[in-house]
Amino acid sequence: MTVFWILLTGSLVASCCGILGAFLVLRKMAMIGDAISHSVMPGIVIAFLLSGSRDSMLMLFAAMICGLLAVFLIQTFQQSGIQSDASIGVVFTALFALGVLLVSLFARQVHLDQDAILYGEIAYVHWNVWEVNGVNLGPKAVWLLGVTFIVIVAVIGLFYKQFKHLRFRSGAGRRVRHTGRTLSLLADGSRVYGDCQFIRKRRGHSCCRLAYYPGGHCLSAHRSVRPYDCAQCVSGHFQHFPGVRRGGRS
Amino acid sequence: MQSLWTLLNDPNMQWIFISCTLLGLSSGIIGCFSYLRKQSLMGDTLAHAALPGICIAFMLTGTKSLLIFLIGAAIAGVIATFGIGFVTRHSRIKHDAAMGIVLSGFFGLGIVLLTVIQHGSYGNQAGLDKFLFGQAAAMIGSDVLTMSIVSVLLIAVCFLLFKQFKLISFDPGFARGIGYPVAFLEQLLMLLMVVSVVVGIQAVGVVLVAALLITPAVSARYWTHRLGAMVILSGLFGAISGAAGTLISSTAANLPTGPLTVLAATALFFLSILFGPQKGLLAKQFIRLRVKRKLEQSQIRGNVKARVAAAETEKGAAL
Repeated sequence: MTVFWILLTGSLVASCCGILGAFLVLRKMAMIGDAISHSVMPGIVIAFLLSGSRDSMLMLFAAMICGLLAVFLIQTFQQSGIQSDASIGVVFTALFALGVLLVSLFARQVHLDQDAILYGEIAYVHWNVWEVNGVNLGPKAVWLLGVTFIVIVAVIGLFYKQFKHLRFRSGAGRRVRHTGRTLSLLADGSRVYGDCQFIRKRRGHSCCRLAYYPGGHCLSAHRSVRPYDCAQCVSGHFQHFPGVRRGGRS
Repeated sequence: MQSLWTLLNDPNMQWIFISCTLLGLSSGIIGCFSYLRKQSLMGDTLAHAALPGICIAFMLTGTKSLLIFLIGAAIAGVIATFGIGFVTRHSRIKHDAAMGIVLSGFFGLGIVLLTVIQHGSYGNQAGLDKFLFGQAAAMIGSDVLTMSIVSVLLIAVCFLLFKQFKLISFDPGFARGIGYPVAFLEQLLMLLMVVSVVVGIQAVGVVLVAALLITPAVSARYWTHRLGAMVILSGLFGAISGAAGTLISSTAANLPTGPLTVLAATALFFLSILFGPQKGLLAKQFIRLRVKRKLEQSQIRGNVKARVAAAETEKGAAL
């Protein structure tokens, strides 16, 4: 059962990332995932300093706010005439530097060391279970990730056509500009939400890369978007399994 | 101020101060070209890709010398650039996604190798993970010497090949037409980037070293339209942020040099974005205000000429 929970956690992370990654790669915004995963660091540290625990909703919110702030700043700088990759680089390095600085100033002696955020560890998820009236309902991580997965699938499923338009024909998308703008905000939102969840579970760095890793893999193999999404989930899963065998760190 | 001078009298501090300043200078200069060639995030990719190179160099030699790490990381960086070129050429994956794939693949390999080294039977592996976030204070005399020599070399190469780099930054087609070895020059520029990234890793760390390439160049772009001035300004901004990062981190305990250097560069970036002479936010507001006032004045005076002209342009626009 232990191995099952760990595998399920990793698979859920991979499929959430994979679904969103398809759109990121098609929109030529692959590095945004990287930027968000770095930028949430100050949010995590501040929330930890405020609440004192590593498992709070506050941490999730703070990370989300930081991620949204990063996306907002990147877009602002882009619109003011800086190249898109340069603005990504400026924003995420600044926020990440702030996070590292905060950790080494205030959180040096405590549980939240740099390694825990940088590598992530899912080998112990089965110990942190959710109990209601003494009934064991399974690991918290699986519940949270499951909800995230359902939210992502629901948003993508409901607005699939609009997302597709936005990705492939920006001309057609521009005609429905007002919806387009809300949609891209929604996409950013769900992306940030997803990213934050993954950070909580697998703490950052290498994990958020899953978002475009499977995306890149499948782009050459599949032409239409729908099988592309599914294949991506599968390839995301396969990528994860060797990691578990190596002892949870992938 | 007095304490600052006593700090600077410390020889160890002097070494680190000088090498951080030189590092900022050289990566600021090279960052200009990578910014103009729209390859800003390449620095980030190369920095991450250097990690497995460093690990393999350590596993092969068992020593922690900057020069050996430099060679290993440079080889890994060159392989990474070829990998990105290969992926973009032979598949439908775009440049940024290819960068992401190479970056995460190499960095993942690096982390796995770090773990292997940590659990292995090497004698002196402690401190290898400091490369992730950098630790300028841990640099020893020979490291500082290597860093300084390499930085000076980088600056010299940029100075000598300035004309060529300028041409391939703005118009590679024309450069090819008049017979420059463009492919060679592009690879050389990439190699310079690899070297400057690798030199910076020990001071600033793998994750943040890209900022030294990107941020000063973007800030300098706000002040001038000439490449020469931009390169000098960018080098200056890099040097200032390196110096400021070292000085601030030496004033108190638990202040890491790398993040402070990056934050100093970011502060300069915000200053530039606010006060840049033509593209800055304040300048733009000022120009907008002046135009608006002019228009209002002409309307108040009831300047018939202006009104007629405006009406005519409106008619022209409508047609």
